[in-house]
Amino acid sequence: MELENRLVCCFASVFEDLTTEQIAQASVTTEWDSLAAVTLLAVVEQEFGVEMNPLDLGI
Amino acid sequence: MKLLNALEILKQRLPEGWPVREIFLASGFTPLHLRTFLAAHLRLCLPTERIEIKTGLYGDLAGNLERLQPSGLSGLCVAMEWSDLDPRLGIRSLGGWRSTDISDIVESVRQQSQRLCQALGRLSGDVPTSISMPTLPIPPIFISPLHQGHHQELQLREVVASMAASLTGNQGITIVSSQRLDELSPSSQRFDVKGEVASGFPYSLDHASALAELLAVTVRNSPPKKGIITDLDDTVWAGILGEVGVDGICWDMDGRAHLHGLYQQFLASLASAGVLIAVASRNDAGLVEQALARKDILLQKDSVFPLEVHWGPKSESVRRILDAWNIGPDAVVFVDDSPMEIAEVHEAFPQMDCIVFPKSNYHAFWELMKSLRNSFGKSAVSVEDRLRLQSVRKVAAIRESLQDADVAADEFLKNAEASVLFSLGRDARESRALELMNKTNQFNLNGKRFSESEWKAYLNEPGAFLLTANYEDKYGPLGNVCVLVGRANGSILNVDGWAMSCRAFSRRIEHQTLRYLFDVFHSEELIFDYRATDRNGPLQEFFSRLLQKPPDSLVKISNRCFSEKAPPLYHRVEDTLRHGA
Repeated sequence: MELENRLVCCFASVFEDLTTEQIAQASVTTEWDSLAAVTLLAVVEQEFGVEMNPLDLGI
Repeated sequence: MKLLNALEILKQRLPEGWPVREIFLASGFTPLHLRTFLAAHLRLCLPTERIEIKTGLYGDLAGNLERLQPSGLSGLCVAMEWSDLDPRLGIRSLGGWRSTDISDIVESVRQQSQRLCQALGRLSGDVPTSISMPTLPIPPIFISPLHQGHHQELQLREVVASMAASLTGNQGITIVSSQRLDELSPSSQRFDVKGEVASGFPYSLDHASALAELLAVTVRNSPPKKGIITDLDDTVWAGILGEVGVDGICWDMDGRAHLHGLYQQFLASLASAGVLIAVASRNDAGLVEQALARKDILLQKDSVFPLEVHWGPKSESVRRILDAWNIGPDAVVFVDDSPMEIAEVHEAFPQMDCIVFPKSNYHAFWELMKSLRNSFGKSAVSVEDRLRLQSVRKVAAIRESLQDADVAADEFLKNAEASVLFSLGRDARESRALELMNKTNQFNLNGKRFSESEWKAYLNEPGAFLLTANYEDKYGPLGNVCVLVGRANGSILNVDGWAMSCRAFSRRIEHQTLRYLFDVFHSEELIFDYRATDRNGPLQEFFSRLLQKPPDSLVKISNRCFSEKAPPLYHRVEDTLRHGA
């Protein structure tokens, strides 16, 4: 649960207009702004100390 | 700062109508997270301003700078990297790293550095410019093994070092310290190869944050502190003077007291840069006189004023020193080896930085020197810096003579052989004028601070003028001590900013300044954009005496009223019209 909350924080920092509920139901869409996607990737990597493949996010 | 924190800071909305500070972030790479971190650090440095950051085109740092129009900009931040000097020094270009290519790279770096210098020199005349020189490693393109510095690698570093040194010759340019950046961001952890290849952003997040922090601090450009008050025993020297005597105190390696020698040397360095140094010591005044007269002492007695040496509380000494210097406690650092004395002074002056002298902790002493240099750091030593101690002594002497001998101020000023040189114009390059306007609190019309671009924009307005006053009397020169900006509108003058150094009080320079305005502009009335602040009491008092009542928000003084209420003025007045007047 704590993991999920941290992840929601990461999403909320990048997608300011989304509510927690909307974030929980969000999926990768082609409408993602590439800048937002790169920022989200960087935030998540730093927050969780992991390295991710940009292709996983469709970037 | 983590990227998540930076984004959270930027999500906080600021009220509409707050002043906007527009910064151009110039880089050859995608600014991406550097832009986010810079905005967040600037928000922390300048919490009452709205920060707007603009950026240029990818891969063209020199072009971005050459095309940049500085009007409206409050600052320019440049994040330069090796690939901006030649794309072959990055990893997104496949232009060739054969050993035969390297000499061409060196030559091209030379040429590009000249192009960048020209563009930056032009811009720095109009907008304050902060530059970080290349921070990332050069790719392993040289034929030598990594432990060996190759001749051509050193040539590249020489070009960049010369470029940085040359750029600092421009008044509006600040170069980010590579040494400070090394402390905050280890060089081996700066380069993000994946980020560079995948998105054109070459910095690790930690490095981007560290660099953004330093750029933000240079943009803020906070004024340095003005004075340091120091203890003597076990601080300026090792030993208790009253116990071991004048010859028993020491500050050298033989006496295992080298840190105290370094501290003296450091204080002398600060003094030479215009920092006021005073002593607050519980001691025997006669012995202190002898100790400070020792030939081997590094902190000369004439660099120190005043000396508060007695057995009373330190806080009282500090109060008297602040009074003699005529500055507030927030502009002063107090250093003492006794935690108890530190606590006593800190309780009396919570705004003052109070630091325990680390007499037996070498690392803490090193950090103390760095911290003090940071508090008192400035780009250059001005004429006023050189005169500061001398003029503080004179003011104290004048006060003493007025108090002790009960000499009437009028009689004293009549014999002072004072002269005021007014300079009237609209030259925004008068850096001392802007500095005085922004640093002065006590005699300041409204507390308004100007950024360099606001200053230039103001002086470009129709009818705008800048008046400065340089004062000298038989006790010595005080330099440029008064600055006033306003707009002429027929027989009425609007004064929008006015500041006078506290060193110049009690000489009627403020009266002579108004007399000059009435005479030169043939004005019937002066209208002042006055605002009471927490600290401009001396100016409030000045207006109250002229108006015979407390001043309102818009102070109007007629020529007739001024002529009736102003005291006699004895200065010899000269003036010079400056460029653009």
